[in-house]
Amino acid sequence: MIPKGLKVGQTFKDGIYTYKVTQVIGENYVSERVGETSPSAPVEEPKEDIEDVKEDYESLPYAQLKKLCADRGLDASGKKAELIARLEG
Amino acid sequence: MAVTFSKHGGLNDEAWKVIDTELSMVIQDTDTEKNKDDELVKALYNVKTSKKFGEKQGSMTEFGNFVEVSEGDNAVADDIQMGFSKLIEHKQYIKGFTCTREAKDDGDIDMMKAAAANFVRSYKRSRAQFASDCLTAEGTTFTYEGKTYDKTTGDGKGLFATDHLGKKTGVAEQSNVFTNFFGNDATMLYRLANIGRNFKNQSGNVMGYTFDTIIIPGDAWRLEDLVQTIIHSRLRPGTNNNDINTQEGNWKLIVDHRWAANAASGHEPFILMSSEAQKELNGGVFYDRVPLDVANEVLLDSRNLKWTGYTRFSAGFYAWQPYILGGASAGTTLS
Repeated sequence: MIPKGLKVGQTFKDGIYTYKVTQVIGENYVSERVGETSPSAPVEEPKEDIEDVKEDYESLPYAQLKKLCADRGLDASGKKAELIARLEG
Repeated sequence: MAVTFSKHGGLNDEAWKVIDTELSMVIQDTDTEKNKDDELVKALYNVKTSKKFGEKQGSMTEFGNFVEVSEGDNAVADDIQMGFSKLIEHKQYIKGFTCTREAKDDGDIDMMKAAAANFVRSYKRSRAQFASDCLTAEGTTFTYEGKTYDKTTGDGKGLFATDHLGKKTGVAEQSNVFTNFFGNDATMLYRLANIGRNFKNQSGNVMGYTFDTIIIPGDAWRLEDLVQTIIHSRLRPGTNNNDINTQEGNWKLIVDHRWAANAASGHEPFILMSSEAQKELNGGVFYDRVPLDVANEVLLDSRNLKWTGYTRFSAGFYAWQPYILGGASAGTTLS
């Protein structure tokens, strides 16, 4: 699907290609291909196991950390650092 | 498009006389064989002959509609004027091959016959490749065998452009090149055909031509399969309901085997053509100015029999309205 409401200079993707809008005509655009996402580019493996993201606890929001604690039967109260310590412990 | 035989030095040479005759027959036979390249050119263009250095086609603008006037009023003055014109100039092409005296002495006639047949097929392939390159290229020029040729239409824009002009003032720019891909069903096909039906002429009047031909690259197997399904299915392809497929039987598919798009699956370009507009507007024309003209000569230095083939042809577009390009690298994007 081509996104609506783009402005001149903005880019969008259609399949493996990226296009740049050079003109807006009503709901449509005049655009040109500016790049290609190679279909053979390596795809990052999805992180399925929560253990794989152990190091990323710091980057998770507080609410998510609380949920993780609750899911694992741990105490979900306290500061962020305490939650991380419980999850890592 | 019969082959012409010009000077035949080989006929007057005792050593080459018989072989000259045999090879000439092979050339004639091959020329009259059914050939896919000939068929392709006929399918993509109006094929015509010419007796001049080039062919120019002019056009006229149209009158506006009749308007109601009050009793006793004068007629509303209107006029027509010169519209766009386009000159297509023929170019010359030449190629040769040699039958060696040694091969003749050793009775290698089969190889010479194969070369003669191949020579004619090379000519036909060249025409088709030129025709295909001319039609399928984006931009205002196209390249054939390292040379660049013009592919603008009467309005000075490339055949496929987002800003085709009208001749009369107030006619909005029109586009017949789209970046949108074919997709997985008939939606884009129908959408583009509808745009094509609403193309306006240089005076701003809707032309109403029906688009009925889908031209796809020879290396687009997924698209070929999909298009075959769409144009032959009674029920709407890609759905699990029983809606009628409104595109059944409306289209003719041309697989242009000289068009190698090298596109990723699902990202193939395609062209829609209105054969009605093509005929009436004389949109795309392929001119055979001089069909293949063959001559030969025995070379004194080597005693070889040298054949050459000379031809002149050209292709171009007087009007853009019969064609729409989809899946282009630059163009209008329908959101």
